[in-house]
This record gives sequence, C-alpha cells and structure tokens, in this order.
Amino acid sequence: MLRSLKPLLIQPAYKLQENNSLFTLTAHQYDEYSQLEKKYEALVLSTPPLVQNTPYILEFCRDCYFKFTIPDSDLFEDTMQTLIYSTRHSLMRVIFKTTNIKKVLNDFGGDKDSSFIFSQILHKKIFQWHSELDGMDVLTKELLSTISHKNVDIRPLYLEQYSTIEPYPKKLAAIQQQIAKKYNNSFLECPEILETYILEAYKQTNSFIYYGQIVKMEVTYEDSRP
Amino acid sequence: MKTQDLDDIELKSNSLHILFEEYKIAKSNNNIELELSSLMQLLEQSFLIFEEYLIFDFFEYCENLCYELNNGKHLTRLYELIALVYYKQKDFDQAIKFYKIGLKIAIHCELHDLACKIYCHIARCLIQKKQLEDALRFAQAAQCMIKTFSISNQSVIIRFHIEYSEILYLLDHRELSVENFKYLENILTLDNLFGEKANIYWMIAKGYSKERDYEIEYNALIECYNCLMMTGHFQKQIDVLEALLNCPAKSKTSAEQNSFMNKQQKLLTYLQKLSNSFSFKKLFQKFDDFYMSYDKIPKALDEEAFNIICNEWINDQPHLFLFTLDDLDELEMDEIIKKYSFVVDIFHTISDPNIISVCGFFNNQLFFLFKNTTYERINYQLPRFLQTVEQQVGTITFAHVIADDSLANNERALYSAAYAQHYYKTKAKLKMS
Repeated sequence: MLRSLKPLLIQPAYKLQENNSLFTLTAHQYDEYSQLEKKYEALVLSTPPLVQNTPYILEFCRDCYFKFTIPDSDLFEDTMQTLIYSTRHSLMRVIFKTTNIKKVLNDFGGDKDSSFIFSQILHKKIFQWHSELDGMDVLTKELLSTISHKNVDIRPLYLEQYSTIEPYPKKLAAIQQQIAKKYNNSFLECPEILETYILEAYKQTNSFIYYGQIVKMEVTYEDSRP
Repeated sequence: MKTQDLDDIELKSNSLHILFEEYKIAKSNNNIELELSSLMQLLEQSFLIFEEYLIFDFFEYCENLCYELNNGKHLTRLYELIALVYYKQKDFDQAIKFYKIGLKIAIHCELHDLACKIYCHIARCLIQKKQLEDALRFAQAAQCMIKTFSISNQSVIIRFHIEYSEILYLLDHRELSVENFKYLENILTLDNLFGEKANIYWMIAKGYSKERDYEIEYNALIECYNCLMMTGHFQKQIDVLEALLNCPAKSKTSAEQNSFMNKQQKLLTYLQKLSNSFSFKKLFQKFDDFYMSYDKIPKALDEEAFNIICNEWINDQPHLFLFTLDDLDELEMDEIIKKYSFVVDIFHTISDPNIISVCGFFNNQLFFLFKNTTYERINYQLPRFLQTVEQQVGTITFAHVIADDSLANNERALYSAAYAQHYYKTKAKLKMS
C-alpha cells in the first residue's frame, strides 16, 4: 500500500514528556531510560513514524520498561498521574492481565537491556492491535484534536487554577474514558489477539537479543583476557 | 588487468548528457513523473562519475518533486545519495543525519530492503567514527531485519556481510569475522554483481594492507579495479588506482606503475573536461529556472533556439547585444548567475516593456536580441543602463551590432560581428590596464 509522505512533513516527532510516568520515579531512573534510547538508537529508529501518532502508547512502553526493571516493592503508582493519563493506565492494566506478559516478566524482568528492547518492540505491536480496534482511529483523532497538539503536556489542565474555568477537562476525560472502555471490552471479548501480539513481541525480542549475544559473549571473553 | 580506453568513458558521459536532455524535455513538457525519474537517473549517473556533482544543485527541487508525487522510494534514494556524498567528503555526522531521514522514510513506506541497506551505511559511518560498539548494534539491527522480513536482495545481504565482517575484525573477533566472510567468498565466484564484488575486493585489500601482506593486497586491488570497470564508477576507479600506485608489492613492475599513473591521469583529465562542459550546462539550467519563475522575461535560449530566433528576426533588423563580466574567471558560478541575472533585470527595467526582447546565455556571454528598436532609442538608453550596471554589478564589456544589409539573412554573421567587436574591446581593455 502506498503511504502518504505528507504526514512526515507536517507532524513533528513526538517527544516523551518529562516526569510523566504513572509511577513515582527519580530523575536518575528517567535518565537511565534516555541513555538506553541512545544505546539502542538502531532499534528506536525502526519505529514507524506513524506509530508515534498515538503518543500515550510511546509513554506506555516507557512505563512498561519501569515495571519490568523496578521491583514491585519499590514501584509506586502516582494517583494523580493515573487520573490524568487514564487511557495509559487502563492499557497498562489490560496488558498486565495477559498470561504472556508474565512469561516475559519471568524471562526479562530485572534485565534493563532486554526489557528496553522488549518495550520498543511491544510498542509497535500494541500500535498494531490498537489500530485494528473498531472506531479507534476516530477516537484517537478526536483525542489529539482536543489536546490541540500532540506534543502538548495535558497535566496543567488538571491544575487548581484551571478549575475556575472548568472543574476538570470534561471532553478530554470523556474521550479517554471511551478509549479505556474499548481496550477493556476488546480484551474481554477476544484476549487471544492481544496475547498473540505480545508473544510475537517476545519472540522478536529474543531474536534481536540472540544476534546481539553472539558478540556479547565474545566481548566478555575479550574482557576477561589478561 | 583489463585495458580500458576512453571510449568507455565517453560512452558513459554521453549517457549523462542524454539524461540531462531527457530531464530538460520532461521539464518543459510539464510531465513531473518523467521529470522525477529522469532527474533521479541523472543524479545516480552523475554520482557514479563525479560523486557529488549535481546532487547539491538539484537536491531541494528533487525532494519537493518526491513529496509532490508521494514517491518514497526515490525520496529514500535521494537522501541516501546525498548522505553518500557527505560520507565521501568525510563529513560523517552530516551523512548519518541524512541516512536517518532516509531510514525514517523507508520505514514509513515499508521499503525494508532500503531500510536495511541504510542501517549498513550508518554502521559504515560509525566505523569511520571509530564508534565500533554502536556500529555493531546498527549491523545487528540490519541482520535482524534481514531475518524478520526475509530479505532476499543479494546486494543488501552482501553490504551487511561486508560491514559486519569488518566490525567483527576491528573488534578483534577474528574467528567470527572469518566465518562471516565465507559467505562473501562465495559471491566472488559469481559472474555478476560487479559493484558488490568490487566492494569485497576493496575490503580484502584494506585488510591485507593492515596485515602488511602487500602481494595479496595488490592482487585484490587489481581485481577490484577490473570489477569497477564493469560498473563505470569512475571516482572509485581513481581511488583504486591511487591505492595501486601506493601499494609496495614486490611483484609490481615499473611498467605497471607507469600504466596506473597514465590511467589515473587520463581519467582525471577527462573528468575535468567533462566537469567543465557540465558547469556550462548547469549554468544554462539555472538560467532557465530563473527565467521560468520570472514571467516578465522570455525564457533563456540554447544555441539551437538562438539560431531559430535569429532566423525569424533577421529581416527586421534586430539589435544584438553581448555582455561579459570582466572578472568572470575569478567568480564562483553562483555569483556569475546572480550578477548576470541582475544585469538582465536592470536591462528590462530601463527598456520599453512594449519592445519584445529575447535574452539568453551563450558562449559565456549574456546576449539580448531586440526587434523594432530604433538606433536612437537604444543609443539614448544604453549609457543609462551601463551606468547602473557599473554601479551595482561591476565592470562589464559589451558589444552592440545592428543587423544591417551586410549581415542580413545570416544569424551566424550577426553573432560573429558582435563577438568580434566584443573580443577587440576586451583586448583593448586588457592593453589599457
């Protein structure tokens, strides 16, 4: 299928917002993620530009990475953030209900490199699943037009000074609610589709790690030489 | 070593001229699809011969055409070409920047072959920047892509193996490098893929040069040169000849050394000539583009069109003006275009808009052909015009000829008369200075 090149001209690439994870994290933890982004630039570059049209999926993957690498006992949800980013929060809940994600957690949990690679590959798979859901493209467009620009930070809309205009951004919250419902319903109706996508991401991560490991082993050998 | 005469180069350069003409025709016919494809062919061919020659002039224009026609394949290749030029100029950061843009487009358009090739190119740049770990990750990403999308394009797979072998070799994983290289050795036995084979031989030569095994390096370079002759990549041929000249192999005879030197010199001289002739063509094209966007003035003319116009007007006693900037040799092409454009602009501002005039660029001179203009009128306007030009552009030499009876029906004679006048004026100026 011939894809239009024009969106690439018009839309700037989405930049991850600072400190907007669903979890309470330190600057150092955010920094670690940025360093991995630089280290695995080759993998990050393989993300299709259109995938970035749904920025919360991009941020969801970062949260996945944190969930994989930080032990549950040290990971605390930020209640305010879960309220603001309700779409991402519901997506996170749906994904972590799947059985395959437990397998992934078992294999990659705690290993920063593998978790990062998985989160990047999962990103593309989730986008695929997301775009196949009925009416999701309309909702996504509506959401983006409500935010007015996809790179904008929606957190200030929930601040106290805005409550004089409107107690909370009703339209935005309503769309987010609709998307969240759609995620839940589609998972309940047919969990196999999402399970398959996660399994695919798992397999691709393994193959990516496999090619990296051939040399990784040799590097260890080289390092251990006198 | 195979012999190569200049006919082959002539043939290749002729194809470049033909492509240039094809591009001009497509442009004048407003067929933008044909225009884009011929322009891309022209840029590809010019890259093989000159490496960077035309890409900088046509890059933006070609980029816009690609977006207009939504042609991701050409757009990716365009970014790849410009990145290759920057790579050749050793500006690796800039090369990586353009490769990344190309990669983004290739991934967007699902052109997996091209994306994989660009991953390999980025790895090559990173090797040059001595960032081997990063280069390895890019090569691995390419490898992963080959497997994931079952890429069967041999050129891409060979490119990957070349980069991967070199990275492994540089990272001191000799065994892995040799294992990986086995695939490339099989390619060398094939009767096609000369470009790829040349790259493999070049890599072998570099490797053996580091090991100081100059005999194998020498033989690999000769094979590399033979392969390059089949592809017509002249700049690479020059590089290989340079390497052959510097290779201290014992088996190299003085006759061979002389032959390399002659071949390199011949290639360099010929490319210089070709480059000069293309400078002129490029200048014409710029003039064309300038006038296309400037509807007040008729389009610039080439020699043929010049003759036709002269033929039509010869009976109406046209006036022919020739102008040359005096410091032409010292100026850059862009500067010449700018100055000439300015002269044309002034000339048309001061002349009567009802008078039909034709202007163009011919034999390094700017010419104006006027019809139905009385001598008195021109005589009155000319000093004003020259004064303005002198003030704003610099000194110019000009010639003015009216087609009287002796020159009637002979456009060549008209031009020759103007040229002769111009020539003597220039000489006189030189004598005075």
